[in-house]
This record gives sequence, structure tokens and C-alpha cells, in this order.
Amino acid sequence: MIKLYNYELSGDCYKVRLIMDALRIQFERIDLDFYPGYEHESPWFLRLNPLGQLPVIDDDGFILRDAQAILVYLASKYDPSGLWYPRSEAEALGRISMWLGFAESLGATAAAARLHDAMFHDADIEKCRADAHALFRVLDEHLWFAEQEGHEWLSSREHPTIADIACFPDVMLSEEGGISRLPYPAIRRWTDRMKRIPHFTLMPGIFGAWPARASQSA
Amino acid sequence: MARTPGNIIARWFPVARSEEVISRHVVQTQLLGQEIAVWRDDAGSVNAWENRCPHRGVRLSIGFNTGTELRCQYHGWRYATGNGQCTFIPAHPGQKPSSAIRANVYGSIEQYGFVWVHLGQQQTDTPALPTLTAQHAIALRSIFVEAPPSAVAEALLRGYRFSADPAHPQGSPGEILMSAASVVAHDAYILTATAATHDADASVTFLLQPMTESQTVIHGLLHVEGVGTERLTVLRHHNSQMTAFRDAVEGARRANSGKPVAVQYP
Repeated sequence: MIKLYNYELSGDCYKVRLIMDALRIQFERIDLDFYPGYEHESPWFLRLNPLGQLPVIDDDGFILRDAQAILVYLASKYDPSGLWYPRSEAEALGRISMWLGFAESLGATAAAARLHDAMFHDADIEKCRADAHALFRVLDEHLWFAEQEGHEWLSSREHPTIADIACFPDVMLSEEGGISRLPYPAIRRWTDRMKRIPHFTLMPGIFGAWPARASQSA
Repeated sequence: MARTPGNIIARWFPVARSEEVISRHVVQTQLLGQEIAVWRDDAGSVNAWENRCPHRGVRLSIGFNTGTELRCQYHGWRYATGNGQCTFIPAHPGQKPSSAIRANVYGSIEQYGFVWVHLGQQQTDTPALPTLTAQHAIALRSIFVEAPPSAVAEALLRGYRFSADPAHPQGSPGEILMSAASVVAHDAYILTATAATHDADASVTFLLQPMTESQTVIHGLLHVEGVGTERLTVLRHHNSQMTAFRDAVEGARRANSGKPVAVQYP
């Protein structure tokens, strides 16, 4: 069984739990005391990931770190439908990689602001928030025009992909870093759609959505 | 909420594009410093309520739109569409909630492609809606600006550029002829920009939503006559012009610590 080195309040670990639940993958959690214990900086964990970052997975001896890399690996190996990561479609892979990069930027801004406010990490908090708002503007505009073109997901496909999963947690937890989503109505509609994905899983600070109307397709 | 003159309270402001107030969703917005939760019930009626649960003050916009009620995320209290009456308190399932427990309901109406709200007393101060031309109108993507409504209106009056016919390049290939629009203010919150090419006339009515003293939403209602330009092309063109305008207004404010300046933008 896949082992997930996990911290319940981490947005990056949440990404991995989201894809594992969406793909119905059984996994074993190994919970670390990230805060206030800093167990991710302990010698035993640094042997697993010298960067001292969560998450890490161990799939029958195959060790992988980095949330985005883990999403690519799990969707490639355990989603025979190819819907979450269309492995043979160049445009889709290009778009998805672009949004995985965007997710990294969210981690350096919105997630850094949350770590600063909630777990006392060092950060230039005003810059983190301003840079996160600049990213949210780009995301809101993209999603608004996607809707106008009849798309619901980041990579302009019928089905959500790992791009949506990679961007969702740091967006949805932004208010814990003092970043309001009030100015981003298209982002708020997309986050509601995310919460209606079958087998969507929750974490502290993230609530579900009421089911869509039965008569509606979306 | 912020202190504002009574005549502003008893005035309709657009707070959302109608098509964005979707089924089973709660829109979070703000008007004159007051946060508002806007939601549509399954019968299609729109509600605009103070974004605050009467029980413990939690934002209703993080709650559930069940199609007939808004259910608070905190303790599950439910409020009925229309009058905002509390219908159910999970901790007291056998008791009918007091008629005094209800969400604070604001006057709301859908017109010209937008949801309009006023913060006045509904019985005594329901104002008249502004009269706009709605024929052949397209509600543009609304743009949030970190600037006071007065600064946005002043900057619009100093100059706004767009093409009346963005789908048909004029001059060199691919180049869109941009006109400096003639901008007229109807009052502090409604302005119209008009531009023309040889075969097309277009005007945008800008409707300013004063979110707070330093934040504004620019809603736009476009009228085009003369050409049947594709809708998405028009929406992208105006979005691009309005975001360039927003960046110029915000950039000028940052550079001058809020003092009014002439705005230059492409």
C-alpha cells in the first residue's frame, strides 16, 4: 500500500489526498508533527527528503517528493481512463504543466502568507499577499473566459485534471493568510465546482458544497 | 457599516452580473462597506442579504444554498428565500424559531443583465432604478479596482479608449483602430463612453459599484449598432481595455500616494 508522509493542515499534502481519494487509491498515512514539532526537519525525515518538505510518497519502495510530481505520477499510474492526466495529448500536457507551474507560484505567495499567519513562518507578508492577488487576478480572468467558452476546468477539458487539484488548496485556504477571494467571483464558482467532484475530500478550513440541482448537468 | 449619506443608501447599485448568480451558489460582494451574500433560489428569485448570520455573525457566503434556504456553515441555522426568516435550528429541532430571527434582507432587483441592490429601508425608501438602454446590450466582465469610485470616475472622464468594431481590423493588418471615446458622466456612478468607426457606433455604460471607500467594481453594459461582431471577441476586447485602465489607475495611485494624476494607458 502507498505510504503518504502527511500533515493534515498542509495544502500540498491535501493535493495528494485529493487525487488518491478521487482515484479510489488506498493509502496509509504517516502523520508528521510539522508544527510546532518541525518533524519534517528531523534526521529521519531528511534521509527521505533532503529538502525537508512534505509530502513524500513511498509506493512499494519508489520514493517521490514534491506535490506536483506526485500528482503526475499517481494520475499516470493509477488512472487508466487518462482523464486526470491525458498522457498522449500534447496540448493538454502543455496546459497542465503550465498550471502546475502556476501552483508552485501559489505556494510561494498565498501558501507562504498562510504559513506566516498560522504557523509563524518568516515571510515578507505584504509582498506575499500582493503577489497572490496578482495571481488570483490572472486565474479569475482565465476562469471567466473559460466559462464563456463553455469550459469548467483550468485546462479547457471536459473533465478536471491534476492542474485543478494542484491549484485548488492554496486558493481555497487563502483567507487563512489574509487574502480575501471576494474580488474573484469566477474563482469562487470554480471552487464550488471542485467541491462537487465525486469523492471530493475535505480538510480543516475547507467546507463542502450543497449538491447541484438534479435536473442540471453541471 | 460605513457611515454614508441617506441618499446614497437609498440608491440602487449593481452588485453582480445576473448570469453569474448561478444555481446553488452564494456570491460574496460588498456595497458601501457592507458585505452582501447574493444567492438565487431554485425558482429563480434572487436574494441579497447582509453577509452575516444573525446567530453568531459568521459569513453566510460560506454557507450552503440549498435551493430554497441558505444554511449557515457554523451551526446549521437555515433562512428562507424571500423574507430571510429562520426556519430551523438544529440544536432545537422540535421548536419553531422565533419570527424575530431572520437574515437582514436588502432590496434587490434584476434588470439590464445585473442584480441591483439598495441598502435603504424597503418600505419607505425604495428608489427608482436608473433608466438605461437595454436593447442589444451585452453585460461585460466586471472589473475590480483598488481605487475609490470618485477616482475611477475622474480617470474615465479624462480618457477611455476602445474600438467600436474590434473584429474588423482597420489600417495595417491585425491592427484595431482604437478611438478615444467621448465620455459623459450622468452622475457620480454612471458614465457613458461612445466611440465610432465609419460603419459602427458603440457605447459602453459604466456602472460603478462602490465596494468600500477605496475599492470599486466597474460594471459595463455595451451597446453596439452597425456590426454583428462575435460576442466573445467583443468581451475580450473590452476586458483588455478595462484591465489596462484598471492597471493605469492603480499604478498612478501607487506612484502618487493617492493624489489625483493624469492617467496614461495604451
